[in-house]
Amino acid sequence: MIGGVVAMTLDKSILRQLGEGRRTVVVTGTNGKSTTTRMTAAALGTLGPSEPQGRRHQTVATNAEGANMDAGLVAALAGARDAGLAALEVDEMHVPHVADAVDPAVIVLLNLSRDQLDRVGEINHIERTLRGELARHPSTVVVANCDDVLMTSAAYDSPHVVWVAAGGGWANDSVSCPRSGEIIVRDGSHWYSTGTDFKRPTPQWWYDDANIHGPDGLSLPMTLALPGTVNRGNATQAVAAAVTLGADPAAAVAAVSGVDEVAGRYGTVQLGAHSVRMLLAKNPAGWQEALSMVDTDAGSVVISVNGQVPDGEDLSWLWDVNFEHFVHHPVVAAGERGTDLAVRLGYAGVEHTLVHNAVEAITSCPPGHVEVVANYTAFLQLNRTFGRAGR
Amino acid sequence: MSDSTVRIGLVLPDVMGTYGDGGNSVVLRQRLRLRGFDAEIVEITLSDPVPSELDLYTLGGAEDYAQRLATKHLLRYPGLQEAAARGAPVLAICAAIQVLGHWYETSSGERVDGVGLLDVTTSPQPERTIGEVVSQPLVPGLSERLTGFENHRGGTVLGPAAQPLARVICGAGNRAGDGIDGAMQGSVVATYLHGPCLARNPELADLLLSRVVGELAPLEIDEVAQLRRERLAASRRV
Repeated sequence: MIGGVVAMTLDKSILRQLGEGRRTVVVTGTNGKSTTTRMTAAALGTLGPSEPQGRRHQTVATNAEGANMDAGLVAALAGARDAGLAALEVDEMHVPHVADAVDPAVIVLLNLSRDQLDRVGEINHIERTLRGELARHPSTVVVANCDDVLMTSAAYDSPHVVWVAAGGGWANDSVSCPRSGEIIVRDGSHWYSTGTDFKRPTPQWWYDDANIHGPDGLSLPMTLALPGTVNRGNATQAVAAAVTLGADPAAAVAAVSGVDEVAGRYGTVQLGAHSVRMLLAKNPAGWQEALSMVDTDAGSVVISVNGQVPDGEDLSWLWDVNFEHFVHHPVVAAGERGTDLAVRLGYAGVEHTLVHNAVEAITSCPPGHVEVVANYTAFLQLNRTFGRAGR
Repeated sequence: MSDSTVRIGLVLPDVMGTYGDGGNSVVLRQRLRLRGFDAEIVEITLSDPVPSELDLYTLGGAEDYAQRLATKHLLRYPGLQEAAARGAPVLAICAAIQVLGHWYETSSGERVDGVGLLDVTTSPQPERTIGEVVSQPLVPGLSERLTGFENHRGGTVLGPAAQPLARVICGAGNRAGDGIDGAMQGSVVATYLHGPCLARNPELADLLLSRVVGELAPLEIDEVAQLRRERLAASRRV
């Protein structure tokens, strides 16, 4: 325990030194951290000195592999000592001491929903912690998702907020008002608390199927390489953050649109007779989003679930996810906790087989395309396997 | 829907469903359908009065604010209490034990009046109790050990009118150190094994169902048996 405290104190001073002299964007929230950080780094890269060829590009320190606790942040900053800008993905629970250390120019708040509850505690506590932390950084610009009730509450009292309608498909966790305990009433995209003066702020940035919209009538076409509506929301927050730091909106949109892979996610790899597309899902909201991205017409579906500490050892959330989605499409259940998933699929009436080893699960499918959805450590295991296979 | 359809009330999933607790109603419905019964889930939200005429009811866990909204709603629309009074089975998971008790104390020290269906009271423990639980049921008709996962701060103490559901073999249960889990009183069965507790404990699911439809034909699901073996073995390793 003492060792941990010493390491934490040490990390904080190292982080402070490494953060000095940079303009840093901290990205946090339950889902979309890695993607939004990747997009923010790309958009920030458009800032900075003109190069001889006329292209503008600046190095940005970033934890591209999603290592979002102290060690990963130290490594990211130390690896790019000369970068004047940083885009850091930070675990929700680590935001307070990281923000105190690096004094970020911008904090991006994505969304808050139930994560691995056996590990990080309950979401109202996280919201209050973030709210308290932002109060200690009044000059930081907060880029907050006003479709997310809890993140809106975290940002509500800050003097400099850029509100972004980034979407909020998972409303299950915010039926009660985090500021009064009363009911949140939803009316289309608007929402308001019945207990206190707390309602959805008017967004400065929003998106639709074709465009991104910003302040002063800004409207630009936006076509992303990444799939899914949720990634359009992530892109809009990344653009808003970069523009806050002076990026040209059109250049920022072009930069986020070009992001086509995030730490091995979304990419398609070949494994023998199978082409495999990998989707990561870490919690109920993330699963719901990932399942909506699965193209059941494209081929087979493998779902791989582990229950290690980083995943959360409590798999109760399997029952919050609408696996009934696959009632007309067979699924191969895989992973260390594949049996938990198989029981869930069985009670959902989904035809399925159970093959614990995820690679064997893929090869058990007919040759052709396989859509794989996996949670954190299951995803990493598969990615390593693909790495060894020389992707 | 015919009169013979078994109707399962999923009570306030919009506020009481922190850990996939809605899964219990799915398990109950499917275990009836697989045996040829008609069954359906009736979701009762904060915008609905609680109906008293359903065949059985399930309630799940909640966080502080949500728990208070739920308690208020159940006291305002006492359909659940009326149903329990006529003997309709009620399964109460995790925070629902606290809501159905005489009172519970919040983490900030405030005492909130409960529904009063269970002779129990709840106060915060110094630490959350989190992890796998194995217990030996104390209910006639249940022989298999119960397996599940608990995650709660509240520590619940039973009064004389409530009986414990099970003796804890591994984990904390109602309150760390007391060695018992859950409560039974009248038609209410309560446990801190949260989330889809019935997915791992089909015997408990069938006990509740048999109180509605009478004796049930056996229903063996291989994957459920395998899941029980895996989780019981994992608890031994802890």
